[in-house]
Amino acid sequence: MRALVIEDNCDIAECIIESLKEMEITSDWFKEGVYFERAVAAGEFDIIILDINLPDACGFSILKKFRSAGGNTPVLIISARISVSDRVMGLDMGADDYLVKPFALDEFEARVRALLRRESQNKCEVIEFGDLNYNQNTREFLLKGLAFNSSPRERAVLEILIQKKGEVISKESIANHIFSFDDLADTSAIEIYIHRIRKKLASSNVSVATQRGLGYALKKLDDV
Amino acid sequence: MTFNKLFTTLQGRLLRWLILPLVVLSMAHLLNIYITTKNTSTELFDRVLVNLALSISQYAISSEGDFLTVDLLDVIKQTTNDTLFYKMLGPDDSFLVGYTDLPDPPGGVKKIHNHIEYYDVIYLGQPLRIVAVSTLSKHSRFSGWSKTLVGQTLDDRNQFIADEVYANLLKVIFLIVLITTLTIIVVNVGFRPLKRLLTDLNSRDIHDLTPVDTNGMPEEVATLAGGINALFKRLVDQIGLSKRFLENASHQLLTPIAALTLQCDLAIRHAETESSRKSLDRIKSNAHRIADLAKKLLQLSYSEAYAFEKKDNQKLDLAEIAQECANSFKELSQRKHIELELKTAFVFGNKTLFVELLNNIIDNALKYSELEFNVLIETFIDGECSILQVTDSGPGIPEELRQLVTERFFRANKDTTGSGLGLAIVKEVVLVHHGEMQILAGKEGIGTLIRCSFPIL
Repeated sequence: MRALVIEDNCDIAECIIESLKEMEITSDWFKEGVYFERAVAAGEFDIIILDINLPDACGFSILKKFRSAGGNTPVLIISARISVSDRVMGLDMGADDYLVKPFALDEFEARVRALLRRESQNKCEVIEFGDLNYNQNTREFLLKGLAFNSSPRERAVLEILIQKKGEVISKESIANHIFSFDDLADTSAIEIYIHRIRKKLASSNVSVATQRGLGYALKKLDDV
Repeated sequence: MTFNKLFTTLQGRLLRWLILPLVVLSMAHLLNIYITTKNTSTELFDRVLVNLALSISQYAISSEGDFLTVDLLDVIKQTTNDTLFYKMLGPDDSFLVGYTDLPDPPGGVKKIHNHIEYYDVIYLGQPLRIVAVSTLSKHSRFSGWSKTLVGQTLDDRNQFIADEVYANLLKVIFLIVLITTLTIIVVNVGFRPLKRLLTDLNSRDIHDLTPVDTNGMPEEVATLAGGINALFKRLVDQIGLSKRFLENASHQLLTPIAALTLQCDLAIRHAETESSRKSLDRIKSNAHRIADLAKKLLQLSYSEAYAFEKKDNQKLDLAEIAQECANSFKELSQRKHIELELKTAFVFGNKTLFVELLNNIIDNALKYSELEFNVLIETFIDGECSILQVTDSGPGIPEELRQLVTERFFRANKDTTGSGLGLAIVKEVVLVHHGEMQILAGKEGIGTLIRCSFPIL
C-alpha cells in the first residue's frame, strides 16, 4: 500500500508518515500543492492524505482538478477548518472523508483503514483465497489457519495480489504500490519478494503464477 | 412640541431663529406706530383746540365778557369726549371768564397777535393739554390785548393712540401666528424624508448593516444616508477583517496543537515506562483542551459574523439535525445514553450554526450527566415556536447561577474540564436566530433542562 501525503506542517506530516509506516503503508510526502499533480502522474497511490490550507494552493481546488481529471484514488482531507460548510465543501469536491485537526492518531488510522477497505473490490472483512486468509482490518494473513510469517514488504506484495483475486498485475504496478519515490529499489526487487512468497506458500494450494510479459497473478493449485 | 424640544430639535431651532427676530421686529414696528400716531394725534387735536380757543375768544369779546351760552357749549361738547376748561382774559384785563385758576403758560402770555402756545399741566388732579392764544382786538368797545386759554383732558388723544396701536398689534399677532404655522408645516414636510430614514434605521435588526436605499431622497438627506451607508460598509469590512483574523488565528493555533496531540499519541504508543505514559497522557489532554478552546472561539466568531451577514439561510428540521448530532456523539460516548424524542420542527437559519448549537448543548449535557443516567433530547412545536429541549441528569444549576452560565468562560463547577464557552455558543446561536434560551430545573427537579425556542417557520 502506498499513500500520498500533502501537508505543509512538518511535525504533523512526520507523525502521519510514522503512523502509516506502522500500518505498513509506504508514503510520499510533499509540503506544497504543486507536487500533487506530478506525484499522482508518476506514482500509483492507494490513498491520498490532503491538507486544505497549503502555502501555495487551496486543497479544495487541487482535489476538484484531480477528480475532474478522472482520478479516483480515495482522498482523506485533514484540515483545521471546522465549519460544517467547509466539511460539506470538501466532500462535495470529491473527498471521501474529512478529519478535523487536531485528531487522535487512532481515529486517523481507523479512517485510513476504512477508506482502503471501501476501495478494495472486497467489501467483506476477510478475503479467502484457497488456504490463504486475509483480514482487511488487521491486515494479517492466515495460511491454513496459522499465522503467516513474512516481512512487511512481502506482505505488501501479497496484499496486492490477493486483492486482485487472481487477476494479473504487472511488476511495475506492484512496485509503484509499495515503493515510495525515495526508495532506491527497482522492479527486480519485486522478483525477490515473489520468490520468497512462493517459498512460503509452497506447502499450500496457493501459488504465484508468472504471466510472461504481463506480470503476476495469485492462483489456486487446482486451477493450474 | 414641548418647551425642551424648542432648544434641542432642528425644527425648534429653525422656529426660534425665525420667530425671535419676527417678534423683535414687530415690537419695533409697534413702537414706531405709537410714536407716529402720538405725533399725528397731538397735531390734529391741537388744531381743534386752537380753533376752539379762537371761537371762544371771539364769542367772549362779542358778548362783552359773558359766559358761554348753552348752545355753544353743546356744540363744543359734541366735538370731544374730553372735559374742556377755558379761561378768557378780556382786552386790557376788561373781564375774566371761565376757570380763572387755569395755569398760564410757563413763560407768561406773549403780546404778539395770534400767538399760539401749547403746554401740558396737571390741573385738578388730571393731565391737561392747554393752548394759549393771544389776540389784539380792535373792537368798537374793547380794544387791546386779550388772551384765551383752553385746556383739554388727554382721554381722546390716548384713546386714539390706543386704537391705532391695538389695530396694529392684532395685525402683527396674526402675522406671527401665520408665519409660525407655515414654518412648522414647511419644516415638517421638509423633514419627512429625515424621519423616514430614522424610522428605517430604528426598525432594523441590530445586526442589519445593509445599505439604506437612497432612491427618491432629497439630496441633503441622501448625503446623510450616504454617510451612514459608508459607515455601515466600514463596519462590515471591519467585521470581515476581524472574522478573518480570528479564523486565521484559530487555524494557526490548531495546527501546532494538532502536531502536539499526534506526537503525544505516537509517544504514548512507544512509551517505555508507565510514568512517562501518564505524563504524556496529561500533556495530550491539555493539548485537547487548548484545541477545544480554539475551536469554540472560532465557532463564536463564526456565529457573530453570521449575525451580520445572514448568509446560507435555509429551512432546517431541528429533529433531523438533532438526530445527526446525537449519532456522532453516540459513537464517542457509549457509556452514556442519549434518548431522543424527536418531532419535526422547522426553523429558518444557518445549518453550520445549528449543528454547533446541538453539538455544544449535547456535549454540555453529557459532561454534567452522571455515568448511568440519560441525556434526553426533544424537538417539538409549541404554539408559535419550534422547541429544542435537552435535559441532563447532572447536579443541576442553582437558580442564581443560571444567568451566569451563558457568559463566556464561566464554569459552574471549577473541576470539570471544559472551555466555558459551550453554553455561550448555544446562547449566541439562539440569539442570532431570534430565539430564546431558558435554563430550568429538569423534570422532578433532577438535572438541568435547557430549552431553546425559535420562531416557527
